[in-house]
Amino acid sequence: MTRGGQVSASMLFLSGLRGFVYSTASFGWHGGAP
Amino acid sequence: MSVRSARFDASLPGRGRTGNRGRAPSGAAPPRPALVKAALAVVGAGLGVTMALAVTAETASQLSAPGGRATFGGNITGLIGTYLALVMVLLVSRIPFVEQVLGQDGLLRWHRRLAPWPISLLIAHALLLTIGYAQASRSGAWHEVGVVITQYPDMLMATVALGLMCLAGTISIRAVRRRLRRETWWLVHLYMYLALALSFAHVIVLGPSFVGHPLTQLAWSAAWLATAGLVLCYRFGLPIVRSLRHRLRVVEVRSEGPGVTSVIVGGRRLDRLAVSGGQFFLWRFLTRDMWWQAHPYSISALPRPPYLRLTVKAVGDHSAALARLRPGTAIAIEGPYGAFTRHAQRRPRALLVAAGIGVTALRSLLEDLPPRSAPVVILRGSRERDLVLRAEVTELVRSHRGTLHELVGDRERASVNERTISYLVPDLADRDVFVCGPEGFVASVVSAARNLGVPSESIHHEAFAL
Repeated sequence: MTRGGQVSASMLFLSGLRGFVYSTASFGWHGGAP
Repeated sequence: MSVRSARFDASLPGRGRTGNRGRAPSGAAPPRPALVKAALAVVGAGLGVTMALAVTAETASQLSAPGGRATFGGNITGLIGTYLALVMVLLVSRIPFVEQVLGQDGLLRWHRRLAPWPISLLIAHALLLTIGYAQASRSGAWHEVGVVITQYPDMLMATVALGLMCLAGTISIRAVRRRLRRETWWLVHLYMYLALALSFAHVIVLGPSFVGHPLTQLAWSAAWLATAGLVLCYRFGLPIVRSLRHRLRVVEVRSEGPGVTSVIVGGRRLDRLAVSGGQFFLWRFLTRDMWWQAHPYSISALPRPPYLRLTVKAVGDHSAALARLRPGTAIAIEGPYGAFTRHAQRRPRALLVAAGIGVTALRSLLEDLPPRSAPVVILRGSRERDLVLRAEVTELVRSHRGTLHELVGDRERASVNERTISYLVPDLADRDVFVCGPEGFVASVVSAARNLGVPSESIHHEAFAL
């Protein structure tokens, strides 16, 4: 990221994707509240 | 138009810094962009985890049940909206390592860009859940609104919270904000903190991702507490500690020209106040009329312990009142803030351009630049007397063996445009460009620099309106 606003959108997307995939795998489909 | 140029080349002996009474030893810490990138990755990962919380709480049978899809949409928009609201709070929490890279104006720009998302998502959250619950219970949406607010735990507070968020969002729309006093806008904005606090309970108590999952509840609560802690620490705690440590007081108020005033401030241990040229503080003068508002003003010289100096042009009630400050007035400060410093420089040399009172930040930055920068300074003013701190800038340019160009005349004839810059600065390709001044002036110089091939990372500017 630079001050000029050139945020690395791909990095943000990839870290989000990783967070999603790892969390989904570790939480498992529990179906939420009973 | 008149153009006056003075070149102080390397053959001239360098003279001492203007008004040098013993320089403060420490400037602001250099920015660490790698740390900000890591923080950005954590924020991205957090968004992914938040989405996963909503998705894993669903099953195919829940989705296919009456109202299932709307309810799922309501859950996921609620979680993402709340998460983005937390990120918005983080963006204005003034965490030093982030602020040093992005600057206050950069952070506020991101805060404003992000703002429509959490508000829209949280409105969608309320609408979709109402529709989903109404479909599930086979009742009307309006009836369901009453049921949800009156019979579900903590939902009344959450509804008030949504109302407050919508109010803050509405007054932040540019056309509305223009008609409001800064203080009114600020006060309503503070209600966002209340809104987030009010909405917290219903997420934990009703959210399908949290009910029956104590670990998830704990992690979510920890994220909220950490955010609140950062805000308390950096927006309130640190400024209070700094103000108490340095005990700043007005020493002298000096006129620098028509409507321009310098305030000399004295304090303790200013050698430990890590501030770089070009940075600013939020100043809160503790008089009966001014204690409740803090305004951003750049330092117009590097600290000379035990003194600091700000120079201000009277453009509003607050800035005009500075001329009437009495010696001995106590001051509380927040800051220093701003990424408009020598640390931003990417190329070996520098071009500094300022108009009007923008010269204050430029003057302290110029003082802080390394001598190898061989600065070219362009000052623009409608009249000669508008060239504020002219003698000091001239002396600093001389001591840095740079070149000074003064453009005096009306905006059309004494314009800093592509033609002027390429004529006055033939070695622009070796220089970073620092611009400070009124918004329109900054925008036109930035545009000219871009058109002349200066890359964005080598163009630095600080917006006046914060």
